[in-house]
This record gives sequence, structure tokens and C-alpha cells, in this order.
Amino acid sequence: MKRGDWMVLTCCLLLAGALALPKLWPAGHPEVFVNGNQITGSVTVNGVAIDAQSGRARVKSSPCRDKLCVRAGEISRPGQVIVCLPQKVVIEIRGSGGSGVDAQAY
Amino acid sequence: MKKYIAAILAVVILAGAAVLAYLVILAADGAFLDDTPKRYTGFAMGSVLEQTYWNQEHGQWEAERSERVARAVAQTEEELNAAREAPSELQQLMEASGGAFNPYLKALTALWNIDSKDGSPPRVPTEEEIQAALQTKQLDPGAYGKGMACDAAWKVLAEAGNDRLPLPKTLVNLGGNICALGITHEFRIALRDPKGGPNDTLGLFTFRGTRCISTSGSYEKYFEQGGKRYHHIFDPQTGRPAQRDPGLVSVTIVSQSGAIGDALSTACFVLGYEASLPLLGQYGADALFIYENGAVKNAGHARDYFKLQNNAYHWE
Repeated sequence: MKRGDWMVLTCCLLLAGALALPKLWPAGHPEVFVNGNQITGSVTVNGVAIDAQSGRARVKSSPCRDKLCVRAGEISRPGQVIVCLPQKVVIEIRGSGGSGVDAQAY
Repeated sequence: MKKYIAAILAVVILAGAAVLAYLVILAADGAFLDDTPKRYTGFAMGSVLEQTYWNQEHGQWEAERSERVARAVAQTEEELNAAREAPSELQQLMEASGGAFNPYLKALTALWNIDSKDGSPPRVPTEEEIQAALQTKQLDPGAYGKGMACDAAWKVLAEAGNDRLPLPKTLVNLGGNICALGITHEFRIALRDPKGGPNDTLGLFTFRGTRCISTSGSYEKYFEQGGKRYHHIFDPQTGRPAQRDPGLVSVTIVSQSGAIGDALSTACFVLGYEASLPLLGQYGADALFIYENGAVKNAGHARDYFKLQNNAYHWE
């Protein structure tokens, strides 16, 4: 190979590296937020017992009537939520990448 | 030997310049901005009030703005509770819909008691009771209140845009009623599967600019008696759960106003698909009609920016 070839090759490699850079930027792990505050482990908010571990969350028990929050089961994907309206508790999974959805209409 | 060093140096400088230029382009494009949105969660009007702010400084500005929005929503709630008449634009909608949207059915709603507040069971009233309740004209802001609150929030944020142009990408979600604010920003908004759980989606709206999304569905609140299901959206003509368009499960409206969109979703649910088309045309709103058998009908341009993502549903 001639010198010019090496030059072109080096340029190409560097450019490819630069292109890949934004993709390699460290992506955040999903985190559990309750009413806007990040939590880990077991916490109780407004009487609702929540279990949060490594980006997963579920409601263990709640004093509300319908128990919809308990029946919602476990959530783990960014964007997923559990809401307990009677107790005023919102549990969300947040994280970059994720679902790429800004909000859910219903 | 010197020749080689010069050549290597040239390569390094050239490549460095190329990378730098590329990074500058990326930066200008916003690739290095923190695109993780800042979210504020609260409660208002018996629902979750969620505000999302993008590409911001994530500091005092959003915090202050979100508090003003929350106050505006709370104030709207107070005004709605005190009001005896619906706003004139909604009176007009009531006439335009041939009475399918009727915000004066508080007595009827209380009679059926489907949205029971104290735990007492809902029940099917007698025809006499229904007729008596239909005669009682008492304001119930339920069918447009959340939409109006979204408009109030929208106003606060639009004002914010004035002292900070261009308006940043912002979203207000009040119990599933969404107002998306932006100029060129792209929004990706999932529509919940009316027959699924809170984390099941039917499809995805993708659009740029400012829009409001509002849904009315029979799946939200209902009760069953004698094997028959009774939902909470009443036909003002009969005083019973609306069923002019058999199998209709929900109607989602995309419009430019929260209150109008909210009221339209109720009106269209009562009217059914065919009868809704002139009304939607009059208000320049798009809509999706979703049916029990999985059929999805398009009105206006909704289909251009809505993608079905659920195999249980199909376009019709």
C-alpha cells in the first residue's frame, strides 16, 4: 500500500469513530420515581408500600379500595407507570433510550 | 524520513479537522444537549397532572413554570366547580352536535352513580327517574373540565414562550388528556389500548407542532348487571348509556383546543362514526373511532400521523 492509501484509511477510521460516538455515549439505567422522587428499596408513600429494585417496581400493598395499583404487577420498561389515584401515588420507570414515547393518551 | 513525519502530521491534522467539523455539526444539531426530559408529577381534578419539559436548563425556570401551570389548573378546577353555565364556545358545540354533547346532566350522572365516590353501588334507574333527571338542568363540567384545564396550562406555557423564544418542547398530560406544545418539535404520543391495561398501547401518534389529544371511552367507568354492561357516557336523548354506534369502545380526538377536543370526544362517542363526520369537519378536528371487534375508523387526517402497533386492531 502506498502512503496515500494509509492517509485515506486513517481518515475513514477516524470519521467512522466520530460517527459512532453519539451512539456509544453511556445510556442511563432505568430508575424508579415515586411522585417525582427517585427511590430504591422498599418505601411507603401515602400508605402505599412500594418495592423498587434495579429499575423494577411493584406495589406490595395499598389501603385503597380497588387495589388496581397492586394488581398492576411489576413494571420495568422506561415509560411504564403505576398510578394509585385514591392515595395520590404515581410510580414511573424513567431512563434514556427506553420506549421513545413522550406520553400516553387515554 | 522527514517526508514520512510530515505526511503523518498532515494525516492527523486533516483527520482532526474532519472530526472537529463533524462534532460542530452534531452540536449545532443538538446531539449533545441533554434530551432527557424533566418531568413534574402532581395531582389535579382527580387525575394525575404530568408536565414534561425538553431541552431545558433543568433548573429554576422549569420548576417555577411547572408551579404556575399547577396553580392555573387548580384555579380552573375552582372556577369549574363554581360555574353554573358552560362557556359560550361549549354552548355552541352543544347546539352544533344536536345536543349529543350536553354538560347539564349532573342529576342523571348522580342517578346512575357509576362514578361512585362513597362506595355505594351504581344501579339502573327506572324510566320515570331518568326522565325526571333529564329535566333537571345542572352543570357537570366532567365532559370538558380536563380539557379546559389543559388550555389553562397551555396559556401559561405560551406566555412563557414569549419571554423565552423559541417555545421549548413541552407537554401537559392531565389524566390522559394531552396538550403538546412545540413549533418544529416532534412528538411521539402513544394511545392506550382501550381494552388493555395502563401499559398496553394501541398505536403511536407522531406529529410536529401543537396539538391536543382527548379520548372518551366506555371502558373507563362501567358496571355490570344482569349480564349487561352499563358505561358512563350517557346519550342525552335517552338518558341511558350511549349506544347509537354499536360496538364503539372509544373515540380519540386530535384538535387545537383542549376544551373543544374533550367535549368533541364525548359528542362523537354519543353520535357514532357517520353522524360525527360533519361535526368534526366543522371544527377541523381529526379522530379515531375504535370498536369492540378491533376495527379502527379514521376521520379527518388522523391516519396520516397515527400508526397502529397492536395486532388485535385493524383499519377499516
